[in-house]
Amino acid sequence: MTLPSVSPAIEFAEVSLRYGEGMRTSVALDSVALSMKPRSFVGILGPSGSGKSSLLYLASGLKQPSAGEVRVAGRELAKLSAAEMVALRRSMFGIVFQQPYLLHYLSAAENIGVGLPQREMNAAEKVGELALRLGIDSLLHKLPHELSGGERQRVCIARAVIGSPPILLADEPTAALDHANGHEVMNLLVSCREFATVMVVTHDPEMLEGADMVVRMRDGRVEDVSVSQ
Amino acid sequence: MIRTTSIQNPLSAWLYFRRNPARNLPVVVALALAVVLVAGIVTIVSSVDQTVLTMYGYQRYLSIVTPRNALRLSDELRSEVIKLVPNARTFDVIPAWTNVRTVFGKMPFPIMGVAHQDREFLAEACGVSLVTGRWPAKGAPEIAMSEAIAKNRDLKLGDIVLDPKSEDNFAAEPMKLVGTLRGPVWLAVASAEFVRDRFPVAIHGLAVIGASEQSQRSIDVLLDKQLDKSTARAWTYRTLVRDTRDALSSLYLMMRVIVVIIAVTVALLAGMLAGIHFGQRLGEFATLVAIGYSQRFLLRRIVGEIAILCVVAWTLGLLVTVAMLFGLAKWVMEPRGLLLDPMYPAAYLYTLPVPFALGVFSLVTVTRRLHKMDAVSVIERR
Repeated sequence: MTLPSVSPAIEFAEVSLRYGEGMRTSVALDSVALSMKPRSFVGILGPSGSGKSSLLYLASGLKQPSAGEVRVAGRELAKLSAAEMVALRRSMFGIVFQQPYLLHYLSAAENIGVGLPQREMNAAEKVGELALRLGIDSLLHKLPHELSGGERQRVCIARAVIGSPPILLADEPTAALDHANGHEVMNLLVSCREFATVMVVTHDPEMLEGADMVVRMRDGRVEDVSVSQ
Repeated sequence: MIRTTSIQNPLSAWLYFRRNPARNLPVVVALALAVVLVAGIVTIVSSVDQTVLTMYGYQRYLSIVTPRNALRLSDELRSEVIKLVPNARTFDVIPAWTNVRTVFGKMPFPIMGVAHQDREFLAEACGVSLVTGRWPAKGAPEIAMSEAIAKNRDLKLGDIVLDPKSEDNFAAEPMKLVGTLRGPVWLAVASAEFVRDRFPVAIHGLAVIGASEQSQRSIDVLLDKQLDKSTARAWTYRTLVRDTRDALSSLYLMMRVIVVIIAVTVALLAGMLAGIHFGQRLGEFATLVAIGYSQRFLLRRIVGEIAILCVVAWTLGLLVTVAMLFGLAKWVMEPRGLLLDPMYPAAYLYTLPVPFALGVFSLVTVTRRLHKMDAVSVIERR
């Protein structure tokens, strides 16, 4: 699936996210309004607890907002059935988490294959081509425990993008990596802008060089949005 | 070279089973052992039934009428029986007794004192023939018996079968084995004249043999229904089966209880293990949910994994059981003349509840946990 280039890829309309009830309510997001263009690289920046990860989980439909609307390619996520939500997540999103989790009994190639939206006859060729493009072709036969943290995260990115999703979401993908590995992973994510809207959550502004848009979050609110010209 | 099939379907249940032997092996071994245990118990318990019906299997081909409160049938009773079954052959039988070993202890087996002119007819009716030695001579202390009984008693031609000094196998004078018989049922015969003279308190019976096994069934029913039970008793295959089943009913009930206990125990343990394994795989399931796999897909996959585990373990259990029981029958039971059927079908049917219970318990445990799982919490905690 591809996104129409005119409508926003992801749109948050006055979105709030609260946990608990009554006096014990804690606010993770408060009236967030944001719009991300197709094939743009958007960085979400902020300290711990600022609500940046919540924003990502709302975008992917893994969490539901307490108020407001989240739209992906013009479709309001709250109105989708569970089955439609699963189908949307499979076809439109690639997700990369802070901890590069891979299935321990599968090789890197097989782990990448897990990301394919459906069973394909040419899955091996697809994985091979992508791995070559991402520079991880030498890792394909290895099991997760044979890979370094950076290598595992690159395999996770490959798993996220193997189905050519129009939206790529990454939650602190460099947090568990050293500086050099972090930069390599970030460059990889930037390169995904060619085919997808990339939303990256991080607390490290250095990692967002070259971003089309940087959203600064604090205490669940959007503090600042800077768009590069 | 990248393996194409596993990349096409990396989440196949079979691939998971093959790649996680350390996780699956304990459950496979537990289930296989439970199958061995259940099939072993059922086969051994069933051998009691099988032993009785084989030992006294000659009753399929003849019925014996014996008097009540007397050593001999009255002439009236004898005439009544002959009148009831006009087409059957009847002749006198006077039994001496020997004890044969079984898995559940010694059991008495009749050495039929049969007249010279009747014994070959009796043997032929039972499908038994003389294979070594000869038939007992008229009035002589001699016995011809099936090879299986001789093996069970550890006897060879010329050995003493019944002895005045024996507690279990008594005769007023030593009786020798002079011939062995072979056939589908066990049979032992002696001279009618000798038994009549030397076993003064033996009950004299009247053997009734029909023209075929089918007509024997009708004779059995007729004798069972028509004879006055206060004066005579008909010993038929029908009553043998009924009495055996009645006698063993408590044993079978206990066996079923044991099977249920084993199945539930293994299922509970496997269910707990499945829960532990699920806990260890939370990250895997949460990631798969997060990247867009439905709960339905994951459940299908779990069902597949459990089904493979059950089928593999059950098959392994069956193979081990068959090998073990064949070994037991060949090297332990047969040399002692004891009966055991390693391929008794009911024994294997009784094992089916074990994998079924394991599958259901494991599935219920994992399904409940999967439904409760919050993928985001798991991922954030990681």
